[in-house]
Amino acid sequence: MKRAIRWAAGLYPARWRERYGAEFSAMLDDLRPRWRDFINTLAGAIAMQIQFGRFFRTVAGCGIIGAAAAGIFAFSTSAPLRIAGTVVGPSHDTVAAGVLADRLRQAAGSQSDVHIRPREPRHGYPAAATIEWTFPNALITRRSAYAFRFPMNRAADVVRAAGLQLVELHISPANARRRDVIIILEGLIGGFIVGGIFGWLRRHMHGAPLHA
Amino acid sequence: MTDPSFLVLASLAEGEKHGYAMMEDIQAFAGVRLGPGTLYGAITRLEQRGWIRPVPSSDRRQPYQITALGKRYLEEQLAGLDAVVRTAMRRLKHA
Repeated sequence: MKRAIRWAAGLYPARWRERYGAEFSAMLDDLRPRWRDFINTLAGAIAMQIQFGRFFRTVAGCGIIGAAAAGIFAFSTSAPLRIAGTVVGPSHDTVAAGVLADRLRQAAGSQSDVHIRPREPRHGYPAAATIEWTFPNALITRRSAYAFRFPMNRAADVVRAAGLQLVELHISPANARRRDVIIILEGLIGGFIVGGIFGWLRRHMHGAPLHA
Repeated sequence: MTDPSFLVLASLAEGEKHGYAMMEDIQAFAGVRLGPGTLYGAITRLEQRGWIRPVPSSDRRQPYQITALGKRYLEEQLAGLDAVVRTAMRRLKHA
């Protein structure tokens, strides 16, 4: 653990290490270290880099922190998914299709949408009509797939109860990766801006802070 | 009350101490264990403001002492804290 803390202490700005490095190391010799001390030293190094580090390092550090925070946010929050399913039925009955669409809308919940589009019969299926239904506004979080599965199961039950057969189900998370990249880029740029402001303020308001 | 700078000043009010001694003292009188990063962050800030200064030493452990400016700041903080404590105690009696 002491080795890890010494490694974290090496991340402090060079000017800080010149001034306090030896006594900090002496304090570590006396210390009975815990894992929290490593986190604490690491956090101290980040704070000192922001406060005393060189301008471009401050900007780069803030950018990395911003991108990491945005990445955590992106991977733990909702990503919009497009879901499309196809069912086959026994007739061209458009009234029955309309009733089924209403039932699917109710089963899928308020965030979802259902479209019925009559299709030509598919090869290999005895059905005389195909009904397509989509949930373009459905939301799913990576941590709570179950919350998404529930209305879909209800929709499948409705399809079965209507004497139809579910033949296809597409879930297209194509936009999720693009969304994650955009959020991370926003975090990176936001970090650069914050780092730039910090660096500018430090240079113009505090001057050279450390005593030799 | 758990502000690291305030705790370091309160510790040095007793006399000069090096980093680890401050850590031990603060844990004994305030029940707060300052991590190495927090402690040296506070020491850096306090020295910058001229509220503490290093005492010449041949040891690797660098002792610090509180300055007159630091004492004045600590007295002001304690007076403010004392007023809050007295007001709260008075109100508790009437509650």
